[in-house]
Amino acid sequence: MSRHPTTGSGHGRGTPARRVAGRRRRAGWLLVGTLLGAASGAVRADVALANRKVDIEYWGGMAVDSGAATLSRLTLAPSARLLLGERWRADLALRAEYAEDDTGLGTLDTYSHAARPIVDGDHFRVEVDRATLTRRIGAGALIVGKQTVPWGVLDGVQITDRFDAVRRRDFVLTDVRPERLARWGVRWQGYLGGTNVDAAVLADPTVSQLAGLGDVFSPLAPRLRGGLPPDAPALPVVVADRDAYRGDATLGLRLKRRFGSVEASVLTLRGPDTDPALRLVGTGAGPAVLLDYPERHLLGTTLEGPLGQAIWRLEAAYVPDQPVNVYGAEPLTVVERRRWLVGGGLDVNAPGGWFVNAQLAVDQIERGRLDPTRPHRDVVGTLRLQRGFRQDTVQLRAELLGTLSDGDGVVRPVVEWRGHSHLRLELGGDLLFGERDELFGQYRDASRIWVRVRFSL
Amino acid sequence: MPEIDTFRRLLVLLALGLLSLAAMADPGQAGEALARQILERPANDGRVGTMHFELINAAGRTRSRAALMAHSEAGREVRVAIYFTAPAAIQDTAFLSHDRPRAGDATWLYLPVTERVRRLPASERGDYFMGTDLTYGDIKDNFKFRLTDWHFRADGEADHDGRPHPVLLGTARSAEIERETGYGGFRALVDPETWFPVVIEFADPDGAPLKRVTITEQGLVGDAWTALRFEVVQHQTGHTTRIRFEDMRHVPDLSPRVFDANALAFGVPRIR
Repeated sequence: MSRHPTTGSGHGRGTPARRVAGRRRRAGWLLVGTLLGAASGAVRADVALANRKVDIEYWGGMAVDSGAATLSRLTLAPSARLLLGERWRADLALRAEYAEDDTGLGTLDTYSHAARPIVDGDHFRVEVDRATLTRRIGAGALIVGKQTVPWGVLDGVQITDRFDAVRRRDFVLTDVRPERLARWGVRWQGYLGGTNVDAAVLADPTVSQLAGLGDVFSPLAPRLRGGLPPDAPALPVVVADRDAYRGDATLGLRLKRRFGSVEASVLTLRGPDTDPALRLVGTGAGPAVLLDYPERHLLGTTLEGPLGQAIWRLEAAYVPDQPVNVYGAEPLTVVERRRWLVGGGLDVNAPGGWFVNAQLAVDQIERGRLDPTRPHRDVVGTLRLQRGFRQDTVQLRAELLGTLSDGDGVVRPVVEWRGHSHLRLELGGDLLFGERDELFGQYRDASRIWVRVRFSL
Repeated sequence: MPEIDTFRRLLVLLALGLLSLAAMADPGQAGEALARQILERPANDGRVGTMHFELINAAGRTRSRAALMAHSEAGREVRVAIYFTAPAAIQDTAFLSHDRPRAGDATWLYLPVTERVRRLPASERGDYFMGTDLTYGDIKDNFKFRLTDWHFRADGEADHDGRPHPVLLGTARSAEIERETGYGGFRALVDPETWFPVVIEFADPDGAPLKRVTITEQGLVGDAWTALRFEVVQHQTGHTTRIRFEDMRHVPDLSPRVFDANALAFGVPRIR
């Protein structure tokens, strides 16, 4: 199977669809600009630059097996916040990336045109990372623009945290997990009585970014390829149209409330699944694999509270209509199944100054006549240890992520030096193990050691 | 108001006289009386200021931090919010602490890179706060000594800044307190006008000198004295932390939003 950066659904440069999408993007910017202008006008001269920041990061790595350089990415990320009087605020963050490596910058055909980079080259991109206008309303706020909706209480284990599209170009081997992609929309956070209400409508059909064709973290395991083995005949890959801004909008509502020392939330969301279901389709040029993102619904709950010196967290989610690939008579058959996700975690300040975070999650797909290409049940565990030394100028971190059901995983040791106010240096490794048809094991040849330098001004 | 100043001086003299008499009679009782004076020192219902940190390592390298600090005391609940504004690497990081005698303490941290507010597990009082030489206990106790932690003893007077200051000695009541706080005991010089311990020498549980806290500037914010500038020298590591407050002011009606964990992600609040 091969993956193409363009799709068969009219996403080429200069096509009518692209021109329409371009007009929509310009209309979106015009809307934000108009709101910004209206806000500026309303607050007259009371405008202040609250903060501005430029992050420069170089992340380079080499394969443990071959010693070949597999990662070399330079990121420049300027951001600014403007206060517009008492109640209005504008935030803008850009991300410029240059990469000349095997890891790559990830797919763009999974983005809507409204969310695509404003500069797009083979090795260089400039994206609007965040662009929001916030209006404070009482104890809450209305946020309009390109933003994320980070729900859930567990770290990186996505049980209810499924509102946002995320970047998967580095698999899950990022500093922050998940690495969220902002999308265009509106969000309101406030209080009704003692209940914290968070409602969002993101009218942006962008889905999770994947690794590009032949890149290091391009999916290899059949479970992520609709059941196709790695040596299956190569077919072109197309992505379902990502410009149905109304039909593929994501909507969600979360209610959160404290009961004594425990905080509980219930939430619901609907929108396109951010991970693809694979279908076989015919195109003018012959058969192709379609990455499809059908709508699904999610109901979830979270709980968080203290247990002695520790903090515990629980999450549960139910998806009644999860699209899933199954082994059917035809290849790349997709059916809807019920899905249950449950997870728990514990944070402890252990003796000796160590911080310990342990999490366990179970992801269960309903059984049916046809077996899914993924296991019926995935059991995933994560363990993180962290300790600061020398007045926190040196930090040691170690993570173990793995599927307990299969026995594959990754060990991620990191040492970070932060002895300077503006400079941070990290040296780390992502050491993957397991079988080639397993979630982590599929990338066992991608084990790497890396260095990251960050300068913030 | 010279009459009030005179009256206050008389009260201070009277208190000092009573403490001296008590000290001669029973140093333990006098010590506890002095600790109570410190504990009952008036506090603001709300105050806000810009907090400047300097973290200096043994080699003399300095790291700087700046933050908006909001502090409120309502009844027995103490709430502290620290919104970092500089350097850029930690801009918008926010720390929130609710110290609630009945419901239990709770702390939260917002890291902009994760975009989520995270509730933190309870720290040992002796754990150091965000790379400074202050412990979580130091921050919560606000230059006060809990009566349940220490055996107190008055130890006469000592000169500081050309004035006599009562000396308060404390010894941890138990090995458990030593483990929790990281301190085996202390010797403090107490300002008899403000009831601030202006110099505190802490010893570790083995009795070795651990660190010296020196308040170098106090100011009247609203109707309560506040430490505006202080320094912590860690004898065992050679680290020093200097903290200075700028534009500290009394804000009696601080919005609950400033101390709302759900609002930490909105960034530094505007407080008039």
